[in-house]
Amino acid sequence: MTSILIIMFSVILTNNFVLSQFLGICPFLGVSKKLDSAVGMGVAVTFVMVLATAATWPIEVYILDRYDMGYLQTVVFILVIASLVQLVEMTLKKYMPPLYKSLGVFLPLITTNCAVLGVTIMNITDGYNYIESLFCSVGAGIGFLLAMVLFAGLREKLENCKGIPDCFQGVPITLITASVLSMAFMGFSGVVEGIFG
Amino acid sequence: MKNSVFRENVFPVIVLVCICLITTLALAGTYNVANPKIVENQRKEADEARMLVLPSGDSFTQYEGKLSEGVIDCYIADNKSGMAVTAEYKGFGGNVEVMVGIDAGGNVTGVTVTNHSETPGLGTKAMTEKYLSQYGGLNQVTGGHIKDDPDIDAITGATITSNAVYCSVEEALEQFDECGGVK
Amino acid sequence: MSKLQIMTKGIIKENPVLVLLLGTCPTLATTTSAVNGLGMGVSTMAVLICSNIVISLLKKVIPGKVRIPCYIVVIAGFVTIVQLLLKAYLPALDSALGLFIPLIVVNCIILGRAEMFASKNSVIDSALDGLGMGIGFTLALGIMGLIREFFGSGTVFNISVYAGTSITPAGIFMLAPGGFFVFAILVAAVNYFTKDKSVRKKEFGCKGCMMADSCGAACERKEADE
Repeated sequence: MTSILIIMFSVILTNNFVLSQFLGICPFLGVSKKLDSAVGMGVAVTFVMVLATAATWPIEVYILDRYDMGYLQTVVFILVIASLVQLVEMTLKKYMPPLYKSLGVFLPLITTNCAVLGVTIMNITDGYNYIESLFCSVGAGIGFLLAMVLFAGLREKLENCKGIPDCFQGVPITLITASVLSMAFMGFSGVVEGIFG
Repeated sequence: MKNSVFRENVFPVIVLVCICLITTLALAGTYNVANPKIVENQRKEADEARMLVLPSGDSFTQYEGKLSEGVIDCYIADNKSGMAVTAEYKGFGGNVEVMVGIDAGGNVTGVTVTNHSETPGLGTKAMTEKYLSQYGGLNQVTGGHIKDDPDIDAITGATITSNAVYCSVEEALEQFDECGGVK
Repeated sequence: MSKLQIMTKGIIKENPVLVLLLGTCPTLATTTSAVNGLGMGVSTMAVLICSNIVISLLKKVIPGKVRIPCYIVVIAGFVTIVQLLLKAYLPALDSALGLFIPLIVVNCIILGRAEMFASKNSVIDSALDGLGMGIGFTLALGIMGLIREFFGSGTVFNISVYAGTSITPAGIFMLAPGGFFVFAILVAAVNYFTKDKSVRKKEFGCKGCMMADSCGAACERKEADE
């Protein structure tokens, strides 16, 4: 139990996927302009991460490792993720139209989100068992959501800023903001060890 | 009509399957070429790492007998000067893997951390050469938790990592007894 | 467009990292030293050129319906080949880049070029396009790696430059905030120097991304709903 809590805390706060491991930067910068779309994207990513881990972990352990085909990992994982995203999209569209309306638009973007492929591969290389892997994915998703929401809030404020030098307007000032936010997250290092240490 | 069904639905599937098959074949080929080299690299790297903890060793042979709990592998120096044991224990970000060199007399000759996912700059403080050198020369650690051992200090704020290293060393020393010394 | 133009446009005018703002994840994550940045750049370039050539060769065979999965399989195949070769011949680089080698698969630059260029142009043009984009990517990563290494660990290509002085390197440049910061400065510098010449990027671009159509359409639909 403690190990699961430690994994979750560290992946949400100290080893946050976006702000300290640089995974999923594209949607973090691209879809964080408005708070509600940031939340939608975050929830969709969390959902797909957990599903992808649930599917890829058994494939790796029971098929690829068993038959010594570890070199197919990248090909298999990305195909599984791409088809999962398609399946989820079709299912939501058919059976849960309200949910599809709020989350569906983000789904096609997720196939190429490196955080999803990243978390599935990381679970294997870090040697987590099935339960730990699933919780690590949930944590990674929540961490992503948290970073997105915080950053969307900051960017809404940034819109009203006056006096930004000309060449810094737009992308560069957004990156500087991200830098400050990730510096704030560095403050969490040690917090988790303080709790469980 | 039949023809268009074929073009619309069957043909794409055939193309995709073919591409998958060709890719798999190409990968299997590359793997067969690259794998011996990869295995050799890993072996060489591992031997070099073992010499860091057991400087008197030269080449190593894997110990085939029973491994005690937490021990991943155990290699005995071919010149019988000691052994290098890799053991793991749960750290903060995952398992911390530690390699311990033990000489023929059962004393620790060196400790290195071989694999971990601890917090850089904090958990990694328990992996510095200076910190790990306090294990040198010990022939036993009084079990349990690092906090209960007066001889070994933990890094403040990184107790879990320090303890993972500590418990790994303990496991390695148990393995030495399990082997019944260097034989 | 002449052959030379196809190749050189990726280096400055359409630099994938600093102008098109694609592939930001490896740009930030692997540039802790110049060698790592260049290594990542060259690996990506190899995959980009090979996948561009193969996809251009297969452009008549691949049906539109399944083109994205086909591209992904081809790209993933080349990524794994690069990964295996690195493991075998440059193990140090492989362990430094770690997770980000398999993640080349989801680098938007590669899928973007497959979709936007290789699937519509001749084999030679596609190879040149891949080469140019790859050089642009490698250069950007190399420069960024050099800057972060210089300030963050006080070395240039692993040779210490602060030796004999009392300057302590600012380690934060090697960490996440430093990555964002240096990237911001570089983009700002490109903005400054190309003020009138190139189209200024105001937003993070989906332009080169293969999801551009569905994503853009999705965003518009979402806004229309509200």
